[in-house]
Amino acid sequence: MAAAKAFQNLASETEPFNFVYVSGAGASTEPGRFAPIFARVKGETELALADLRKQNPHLHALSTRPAFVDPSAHRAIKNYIPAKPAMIGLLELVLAHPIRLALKGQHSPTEPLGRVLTELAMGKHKDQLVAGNGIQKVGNFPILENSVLRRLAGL
Amino acid sequence: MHVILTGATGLVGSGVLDAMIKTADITKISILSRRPVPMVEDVKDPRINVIIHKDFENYDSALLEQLKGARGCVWALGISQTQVGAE
Repeated sequence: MAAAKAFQNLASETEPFNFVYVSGAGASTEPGRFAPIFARVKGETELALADLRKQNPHLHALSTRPAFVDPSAHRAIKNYIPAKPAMIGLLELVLAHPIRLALKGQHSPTEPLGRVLTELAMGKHKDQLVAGNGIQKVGNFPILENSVLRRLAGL
Repeated sequence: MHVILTGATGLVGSGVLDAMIKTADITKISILSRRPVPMVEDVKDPRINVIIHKDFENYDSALLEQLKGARGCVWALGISQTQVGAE
């Protein structure tokens, strides 16, 4: 949030600043009693950004919620990504194939994801960011679910 | 176009960095990172400027001066949801 506030000075009348926040599937702006901590924290950040956008319309902030982020097909980054703790690594190994095959909507391969997030930061796809079909809007602040990211990436 | 990236050493951030490098329209990439970014060191792309920044609560004018002209940023800082502690 401190960064978003600082970066809004980089925006101007003619050149809005695109702040693409990487949240995650499961984040919620209206967490129920049983929602996990990350859901609440990320949801709160999303709401804070929405509020900031309302106050400064030149700060084109938006939130994206990737789901199962999968680097397995992305050779260029393989050597640079952080290692996961053993148990999580194992769990992901088990879940990866079913997600890739049956739950495509939850699949977030890193190469197309990187591409879409970059495009959004460059100000592309703005005409697609209307409410409905996986896009929730809090005022002018769009929250993009994984399905939307996949769609924008052409998946 | 000048863009900013945080979280470049992470899973999503690495993917974004790779995409930014491959985007011809991007003329400058400012990375805010708490530590050096190995991928940048290997790729040696002159468009990339890694700014070592430890305090993500504070952004002084010297830093903002370096970020001037940026049109957007990808904020990929944070850790995986499965690894978040209770704090």
